[in-house]
Amino acid sequence: MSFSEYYNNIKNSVVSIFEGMAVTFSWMLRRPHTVQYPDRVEPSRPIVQQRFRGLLEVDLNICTGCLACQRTCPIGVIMIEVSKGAERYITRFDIEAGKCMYCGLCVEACPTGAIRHTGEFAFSVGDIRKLVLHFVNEPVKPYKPVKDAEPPAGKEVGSIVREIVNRRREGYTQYIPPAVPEVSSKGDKEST
Amino acid sequence: MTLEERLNAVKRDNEILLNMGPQHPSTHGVIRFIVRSDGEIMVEALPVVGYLHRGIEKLAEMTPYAGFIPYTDRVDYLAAMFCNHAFVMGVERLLGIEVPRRAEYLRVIASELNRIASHLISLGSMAMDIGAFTPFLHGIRERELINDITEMLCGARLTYNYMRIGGVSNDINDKILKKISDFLDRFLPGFIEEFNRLITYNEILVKRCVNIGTISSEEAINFGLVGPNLRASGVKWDLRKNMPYSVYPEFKFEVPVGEGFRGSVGDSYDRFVVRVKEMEESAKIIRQAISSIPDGEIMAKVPKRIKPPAGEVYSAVESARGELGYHIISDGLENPYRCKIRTGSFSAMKAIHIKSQGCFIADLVVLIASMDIVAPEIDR
Amino acid sequence: MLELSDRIIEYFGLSHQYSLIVIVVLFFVYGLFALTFGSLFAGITSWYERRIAGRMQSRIGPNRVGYQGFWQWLADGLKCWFKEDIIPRDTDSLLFRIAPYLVFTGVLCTFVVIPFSPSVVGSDMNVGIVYIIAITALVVAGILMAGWSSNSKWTLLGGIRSTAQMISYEIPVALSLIVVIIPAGTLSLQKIIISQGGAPYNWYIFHNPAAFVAFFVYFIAALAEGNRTPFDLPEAESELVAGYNTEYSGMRFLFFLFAEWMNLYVIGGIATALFLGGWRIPGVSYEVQSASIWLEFLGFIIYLIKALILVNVIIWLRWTLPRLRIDQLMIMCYKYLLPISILLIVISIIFTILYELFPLLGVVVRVLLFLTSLLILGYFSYRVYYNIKNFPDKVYLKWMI
Repeated sequence: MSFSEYYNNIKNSVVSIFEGMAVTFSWMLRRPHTVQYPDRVEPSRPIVQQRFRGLLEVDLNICTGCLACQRTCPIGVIMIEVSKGAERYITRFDIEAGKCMYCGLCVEACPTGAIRHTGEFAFSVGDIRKLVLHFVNEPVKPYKPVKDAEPPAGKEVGSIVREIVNRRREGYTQYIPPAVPEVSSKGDKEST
Repeated sequence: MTLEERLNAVKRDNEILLNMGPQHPSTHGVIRFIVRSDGEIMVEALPVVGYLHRGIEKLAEMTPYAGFIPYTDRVDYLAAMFCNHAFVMGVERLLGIEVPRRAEYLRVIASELNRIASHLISLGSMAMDIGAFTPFLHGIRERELINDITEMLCGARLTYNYMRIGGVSNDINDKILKKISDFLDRFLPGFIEEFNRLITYNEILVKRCVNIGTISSEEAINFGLVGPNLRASGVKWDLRKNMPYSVYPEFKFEVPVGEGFRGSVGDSYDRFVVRVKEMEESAKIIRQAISSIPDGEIMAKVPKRIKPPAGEVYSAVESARGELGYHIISDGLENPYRCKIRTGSFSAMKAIHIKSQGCFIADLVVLIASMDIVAPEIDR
Repeated sequence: MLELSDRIIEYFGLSHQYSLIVIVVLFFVYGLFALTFGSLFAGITSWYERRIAGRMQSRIGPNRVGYQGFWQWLADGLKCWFKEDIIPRDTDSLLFRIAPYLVFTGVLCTFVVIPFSPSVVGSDMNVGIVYIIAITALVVAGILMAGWSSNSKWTLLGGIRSTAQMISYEIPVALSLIVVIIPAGTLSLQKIIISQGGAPYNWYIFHNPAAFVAFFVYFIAALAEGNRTPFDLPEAESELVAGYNTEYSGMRFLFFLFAEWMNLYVIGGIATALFLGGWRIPGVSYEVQSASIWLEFLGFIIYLIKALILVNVIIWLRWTLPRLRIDQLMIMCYKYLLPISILLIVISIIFTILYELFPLLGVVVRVLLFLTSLLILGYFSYRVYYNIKNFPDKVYLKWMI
């Protein structure tokens, strides 16, 4: 190689390495961008943003039982059973949090906003069967939307699922959806 | 004959058969290369793909149109907005819906932010494969800010599911706009110049990348390369300018083309520098878009159950890795009849196979990294 | 060592027939001291390197195990110690087992000649530098054995590449050290340090322009000897496998890593001794220093600090630069470092002769070089300041976070 190539090689190497070292040294003097989780995270500041798509929860006081979320889910994560008969009761509302891909299509499909994303994301369990969230403990009557009225304010977003998350270390037993109470077809005549 | 038998048949005596197996430390995903080499110089590097096939195209035939959008995120998770955009654009063309202008601007802003994020990872991985670990982490740090912005916008940090058929899902407000503009003030020119000084002008990187895998413009067109790989070979082809879609004609930006910055036209160093320049151009587009978002709706009037009329459409988008195209055939029902996805990384595999002949094994790593392939894109 | 034994005999009032026993005991103690020092240094450097790497990459390094993560290296060492000792079946078993010990010994034996303070040195051989270059050839043998005996194509490739790299770079190491030996006139490390002065402009690095460049040539060549980035292709992770130490696990693997980190101190130690004035204190002569214990201790601390600064620079280089390809490595050795170091020897000879004829020239050149190096440091600080000014993240000097 010619002398000018040789000299240029040396000069470029020295100059570029010098500049690179100055950049790294300047970063050594700055504050690291990482935050030690969960020790140094300020408890008052929320970790996730407001629109974060975390674990799903259902407020059954507002749920109308329309099954729109079950139809919209591309994977089939939501399992709703509504008893047929004279009165409709929602007897089962399961969400498989392990299969869910947190896309938010069910939340958009719900007419009243009963199913919604929360800010919870820490939900590790020891048994995969515990990853299914059961929201119905006793049969619930679906909410009948009154025309031109707002749906009632439900529980605080996140409180329902936080209870389930906090109880996750309890033992697993087979979940049996509750039975629908017997309703006689003669109406509610008071008997002596 | 199996693959191994075929390779053993052509192997000469002084060659060894090495296996850069499905798991290897270069983080480009699950791809396998069978390398025939005589110690240091390679004779060929045969790519074997298919380890990450998830059957997304088959799943499309069983999912309604609106429910398929989260699946498109996973086709290329580093540039998920583009995948969403291409699919949604195709269905809108089938239905004949016009998207409101505010939604188009939001789509452009989100897409360009995603392009910056994707390029940061690709440049960082290339530097990491060559041995410099620091630029990758600096890139990740900037990408965290973009992730925060998209988390405020649509709720997720990687698989956005932001676009809907007829618009976008969430609206933007002043807080998010301020955060984007703060990020851009920090990014351009501060971060780009520092990144250049740290790694792009570094003589060792130049010497490692120059004249490796030189692809001339005719070869690039014949291979079917797209995106920054094609532009680095000298061909000025960008879907945003040559086949415009969405509101890109309203923005002023350049298309960087490789011109042999330190070596020949179309080598790996060109691909590196073209991506850095594309990040700058994306930042300029976002600045123009933020300052002039029109008011209006974010979603057009779309029927509840989407059943496009029978027909087919091909819609393509200039993604971070090139042209990402969807060929959607619908037969009037709720699910598509066929949805074929065309990605840029798939064509790059053949280019790697041909161009790897005659270079060192260390150069193979540089070549793979400079083509910016992601494994999920190759085998969907 | 002999003077030390004499002083101990006088101090305790023993008769001189026990001098041999005292010397043997002293050698043993010094060997233990070198082993402990080397191993502790290797362990603590691993923690230190990870913290520094973290800060350069805008993150925190290990800070969980113990205060600020200080026991991380102990935890890693214990973990590796308890691992299963896997020896693959088809390996050449004897070579496989010996290789780590050879590498470790080759690096540890250089501690014999490195002076820690005026009278604490293992053996002040009068061929000190030649001994160092010779004993580091054991490392080459060890690596070749490791690469061959692992019975794998990848390790063979890595071992042969590493061997070629190490034997090639021994030449610029030796030649650039000769540049300093010419003005000193002796090969023994203690005497070279004695013939330097204490103040910075009296160090050999500023003695003549050739010595200034020779410092950097030695630094680069010694980095390549020690298989550190930018020359760590043989043990690179992303070139698919970890080279010659792929098949090793547990304590044998740790021996290789120990040797690499100990080598950092050796590089720093030799460069300090030859170029940066060793344990000399500015303004104190050798006789005064060797007479008082406190000044000796101060000399030890000064030596340690100078060597640690160089170790810092090595760590810093590792996390900034990419790595060179094997043929570029060889080109750099044979086409750049070798001719330059031969040229530097010639220039050094010329300058030494000129200084004998015109002593004033020596002082002038020294001061000029010292000022030039201060200018370079000042320009570097300016570039760091420019970096900090141009980017919104502000300076935050708390080292422990």
